[in-house]
Amino acid sequence: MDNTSEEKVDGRPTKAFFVDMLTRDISVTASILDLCDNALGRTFELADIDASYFLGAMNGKQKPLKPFYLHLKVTPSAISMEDNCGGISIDHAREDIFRLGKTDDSGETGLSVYGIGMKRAFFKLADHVSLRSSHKNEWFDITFDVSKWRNKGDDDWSLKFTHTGTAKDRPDAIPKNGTLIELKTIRPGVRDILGQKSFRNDLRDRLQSAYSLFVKLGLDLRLDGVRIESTTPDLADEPLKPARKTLKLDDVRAVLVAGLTPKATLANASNSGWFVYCNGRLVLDADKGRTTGWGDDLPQWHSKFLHFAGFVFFTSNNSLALPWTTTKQGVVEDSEVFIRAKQEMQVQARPVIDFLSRQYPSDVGDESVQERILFEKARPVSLTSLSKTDRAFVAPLPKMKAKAQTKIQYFRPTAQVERVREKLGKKLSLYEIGGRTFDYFYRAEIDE
Amino acid sequence: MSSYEKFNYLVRPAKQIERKLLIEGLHQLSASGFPIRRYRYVGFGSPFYADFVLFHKYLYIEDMLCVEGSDIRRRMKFNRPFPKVALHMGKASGVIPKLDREKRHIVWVDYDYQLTPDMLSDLAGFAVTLCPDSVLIVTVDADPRVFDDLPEDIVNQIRDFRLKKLTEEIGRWVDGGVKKSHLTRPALPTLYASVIRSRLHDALSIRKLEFLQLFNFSYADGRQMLSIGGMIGGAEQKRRLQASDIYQLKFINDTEKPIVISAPPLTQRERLWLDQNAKSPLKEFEIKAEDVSNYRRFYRYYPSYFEALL
Repeated sequence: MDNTSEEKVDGRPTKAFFVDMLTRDISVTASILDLCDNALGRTFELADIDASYFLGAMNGKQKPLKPFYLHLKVTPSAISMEDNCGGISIDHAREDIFRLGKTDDSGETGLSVYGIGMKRAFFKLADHVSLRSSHKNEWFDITFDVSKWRNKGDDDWSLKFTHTGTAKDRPDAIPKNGTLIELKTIRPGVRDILGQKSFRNDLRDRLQSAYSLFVKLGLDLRLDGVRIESTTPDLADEPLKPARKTLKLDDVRAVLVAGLTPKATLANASNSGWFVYCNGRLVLDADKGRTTGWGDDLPQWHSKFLHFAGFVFFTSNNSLALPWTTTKQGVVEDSEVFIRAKQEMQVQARPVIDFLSRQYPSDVGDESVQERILFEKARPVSLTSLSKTDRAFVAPLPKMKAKAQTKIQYFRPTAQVERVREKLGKKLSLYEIGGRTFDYFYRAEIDE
Repeated sequence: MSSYEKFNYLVRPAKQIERKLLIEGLHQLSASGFPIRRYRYVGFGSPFYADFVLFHKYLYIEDMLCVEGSDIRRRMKFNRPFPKVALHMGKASGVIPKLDREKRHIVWVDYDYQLTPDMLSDLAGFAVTLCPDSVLIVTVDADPRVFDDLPEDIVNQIRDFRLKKLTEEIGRWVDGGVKKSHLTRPALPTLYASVIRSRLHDALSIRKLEFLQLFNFSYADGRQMLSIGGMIGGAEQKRRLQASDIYQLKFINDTEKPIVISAPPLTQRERLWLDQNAKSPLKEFEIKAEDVSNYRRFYRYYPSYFEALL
């Protein structure tokens, strides 16, 4: 008996799902960062560099992102963002960026992954959206109210260009090869949050850490006119050497760096742990938990490891292959790429952890003093100036011991020196006279 | 136990038997096309370098690295048996990231203390860095340390304490958790063996590799020790091992239950008699049947010790 029927079951999505549901598990801060990701997505490509390029490639001096800016203004009644990071073409606007989700499953370079971030941010933050962008010889303006779009029902998902034009008639407000986003009629719950002092400080901190690499490379990033500085910690180098290891994980390249923040740096929990970046964007900030192997093959994080700093830079031309979550506030812990990187992170970090453990006399004997001297001697170096060679963590203790020498230089009356030379009975150089008289004292007074 | 049944700890006959068994096993790998003589050996030589001397002389390995955690650099240099033996002063964890990932290794981490999380992390580290065809051997103290001269209630307290500690440290790797019944002389090596196997399995599976276990010995020259060893490899290594004769060797063991190496204390005359005769010695002299069978199992590897004037 055939029970099949021609009657169809409705499986279409609803706008309510996107506008009300998808926005629930993302914070206001993360939504704003999503907009920034969209803006910054192609800067590395435009500057013709790889996101891991900065690692030791340029002696810390070159600033390939210097031509680019992203200025963010946030008030309880409006959010605006202006950038000159490439802009959006009319074709791209028409066919891709307003689709909910990606049109195919291929990844792309940069910071765009799931094709949802920008729209989700619009829905989360405001009702009135204005997106104006210029790219090469053209520009466009798409301005709409989310509520009106929503009221058109679940059959019409389209938006209209408000204006399009060519380079000649580009309004001054729209930056050249850039985008201006203005959000007004902020959603009621969001408006309260935007007005809070703590929110603004949190947002500043998040911008600072999420884009610290971009800023380090020269990006002019501002919140309400105030420039955001990079917070990426320096590492202790020479005579110490941080560990560095490059991994090829299918489509993904991972560069691991593990070392110590300099002794002189104020030890601070926000500078300690693992920092994980995907295509230059920080996704895990100073992690000290099991996610990055603490309490697994690394010991539980402890204040004696305050100077530990590890960095993982994942890069790929296929952004879907990177182990970041949709909110970019964490890693997909069970992704194969991350699991394999994590194994290597632990291998590279253990000698650093051992070194820090030896700093504490309660754990060992007096040898720990040597480690401390070494640590104090190490000079700080920026991540951008690190050596590009893969190597394990180096703490050259024994050699230091053998080589530790001091040069002594002094003047004495020539006549006296000549009498000493006579007494020594040989035609010795001044260098040897100095050495022998020192040795004589040392044997007599210090070491029989 | 009478004193004549105890051994001079320094000569450690069971350990020496183990070294010889490893050498025979590794020779068989050589015969099966694994170029052991071109492997790099990494071990904990101690100032005696016993394993280094044997592996150089009998496996012809030239490239060697000795890891030493105690602060005895000059003593280690002084006793270095061959100039080619490199020295790493520090923990094994410091060597792991420096290993050449392309080079085949034999690594023997011969710890003289109980299984710790740090040790398991070393094993995981080797599992991440050693290339296929490499051989990894680990030795740990697996002695339950029973104090039979203490009152029962104190012994119970010690057991409870150890159970708690083991549960915290290695409980993750034990199916059903650590139990009191694990803390006995016969059971502890098997527990440790299963933990080591699980840890290696989990770390290697990420690389789509396996720990192809070949050795699992327990022995006691003083404390009871456990040694687990095997090859790191995938389908190809598995096939090559199966095609070789290595599994014909009686001491090759891929289960989690160790083969017990026992070196019963016998006089030279007793040993000669046992070597010459297949029958029981009980009519000639009184020796336990168990000692006889233990001796006969490993008589070819049983070391002889004589005083030498050097």
